[in-house]
Amino acid sequence: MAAQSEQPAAPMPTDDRAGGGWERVWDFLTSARCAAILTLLTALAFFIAGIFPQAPAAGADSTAQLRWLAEAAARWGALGPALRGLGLFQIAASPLWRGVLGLWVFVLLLHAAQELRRALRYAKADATALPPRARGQWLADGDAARVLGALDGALSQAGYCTRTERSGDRLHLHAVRTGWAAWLRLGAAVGLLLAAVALLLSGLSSRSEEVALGPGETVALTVRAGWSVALGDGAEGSLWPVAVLGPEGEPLSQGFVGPQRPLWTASLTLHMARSSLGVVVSATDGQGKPVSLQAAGESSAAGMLFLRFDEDQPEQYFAAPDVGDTIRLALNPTAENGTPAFAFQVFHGMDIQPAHEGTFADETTTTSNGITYRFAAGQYPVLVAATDISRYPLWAGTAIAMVCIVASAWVSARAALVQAAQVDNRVAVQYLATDAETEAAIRKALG
Amino acid sequence: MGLMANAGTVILGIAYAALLAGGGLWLAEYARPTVRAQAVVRALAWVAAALITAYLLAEAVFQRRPLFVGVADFLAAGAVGMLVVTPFAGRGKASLVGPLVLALAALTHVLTARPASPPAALAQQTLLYALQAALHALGVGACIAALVGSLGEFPVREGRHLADGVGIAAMGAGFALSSAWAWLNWGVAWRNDPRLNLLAAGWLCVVAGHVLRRDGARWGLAAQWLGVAVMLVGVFAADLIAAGWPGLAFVAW
Repeated sequence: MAAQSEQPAAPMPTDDRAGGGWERVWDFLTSARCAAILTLLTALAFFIAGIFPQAPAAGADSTAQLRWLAEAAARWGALGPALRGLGLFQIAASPLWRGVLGLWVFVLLLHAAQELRRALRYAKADATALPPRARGQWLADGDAARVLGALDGALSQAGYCTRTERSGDRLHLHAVRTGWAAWLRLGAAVGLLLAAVALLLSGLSSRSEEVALGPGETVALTVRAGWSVALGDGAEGSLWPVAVLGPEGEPLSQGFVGPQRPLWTASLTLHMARSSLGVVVSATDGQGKPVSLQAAGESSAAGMLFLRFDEDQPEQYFAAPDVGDTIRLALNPTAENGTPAFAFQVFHGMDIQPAHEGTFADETTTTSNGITYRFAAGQYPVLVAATDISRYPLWAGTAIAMVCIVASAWVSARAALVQAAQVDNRVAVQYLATDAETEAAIRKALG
Repeated sequence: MGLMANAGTVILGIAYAALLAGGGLWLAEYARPTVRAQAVVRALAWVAAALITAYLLAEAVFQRRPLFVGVADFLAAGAVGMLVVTPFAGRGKASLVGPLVLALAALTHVLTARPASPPAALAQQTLLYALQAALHALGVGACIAALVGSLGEFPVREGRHLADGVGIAAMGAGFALSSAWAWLNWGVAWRNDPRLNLLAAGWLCVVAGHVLRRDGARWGLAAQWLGVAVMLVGVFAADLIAAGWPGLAFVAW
């Protein structure tokens, strides 16, 4: 016959302390509640990033980023400067985000230490580090060793690995089942720790820049001094042939770049960011010989010109210096059913009225003053060149954490610590268990 | 356009009829509750959701229309998520409210808002984009179903935790794919747009609430409701928020 005891419980030899301040702080920092509060703080950072516009990733072009920030602040009127000062337009670089990440790193270190200790103890069938989610105490007639022996047998039969030890006048029964699953929780803590450290370092190590390419163009990179990127011939659909060149112009990597098709080199990745409109212009004289052309702002002439157009630069001029022509090209972004078209005007000498003009959507030719101009419009790639060494620990940590969290949702370590003490001809039993199923097995065995 | 004019119209017509029948039955069931009526309502909601999904997939396959550009596809997938999770989450009337409302909303959007969908960017015309958006939609639907299904219930049943887990896991996988999508397209681990950030904020609140409720804290429920509210702001208001953002090419899921 067993009955629930009214007597005060004797202390159990576990980490479940009701002790001093530091122990309580440790218990809180390693608790699920602390992790949940940090998760809510992380959610706050994401919420802010969802309400306030976020600056593009810090790149080599800091002027463009400053312009973006000024524009974003202006949209918030008088509040803009204050919001910008608080870092709300760059939450990833704000003290809030870094502070939350720093707290995560600290707490995850403690979690990892706790899970490591638990896993090592479980491996030795030592349940003193168990997280006590269920507890109870019983007072029954009989002999303590016999009661604990019966419990030992029942738990062993249920698949628990058991160990009994004596401490003074008390007997302790440790029971652990699927103790290896504690390593999954350790893996999750380590994976999240790795990811948090990587995110913390990401702002320091990542650099990126936009590279707009035209036919035959080679653009020097600022994120990787001495390297350059060149656009090759033979685009296949939306895939562009691109080469990364070293300091001596030697090809370091070649391949196609397109939507979801980056080009990887040792420390640099090229991604397709978007397309930009461009026009390739060439000219020939009456005998079919090439006529040299010179873009506005350029010091030399070339046989072929590539002119890039966008919202900021909808108009371009170039000249054919040998024949004294000046040509104006203007973009109309939504000329025909929303598709972009170009207008061209050819001026002779110092004339202010165009000698020839017209429009085209893809390509056209026009002859003026014996010179035939060819215009071919098309979409050309704008790439993002990125370097970020923190990406490797970020991906690795995220993958480890996901695998371990999913696995530990299916299987978790179960443990119990039972203490039995002889009081005259009665036995006082206390137990701690990690889960309801283990508690039920103990209660069933105790009758 | 053949699909739109013929088979598509028939599919949507049947879906609409199923929803109307379900709505009617639901009202009748409200007056005189019977288990069988609830089962029929659920079945009709399933039929409607399946037909809407079939319609959207057929459009994507036959007309090469990118998925999850605009809110309609998201609502349809969200309805499926709710229907999947509802049996774990709730009992009685509470288990019927969400699926019907969301399925009806999805159908309304498919019929009315789709022509106004913005043109898709290249990065949106990819399978990875559609997959991550579908997982987000299923996850949001499941999170809502899990909460609606256990209104006022504390402590919660084990099935409720399972329902929570399905929603949280689906959204988590969606964020992982979204991150991969952002990396493949722009070389960044996260595409910083308002919808994605608000969905992430809401999801983190739901996760925190789930942990707190398992830990016995009652305010975990408030955190979960807050999370769902933030997600819905992300779903419906992100386009308005993005209008104030300079240089954002498009709003993603």
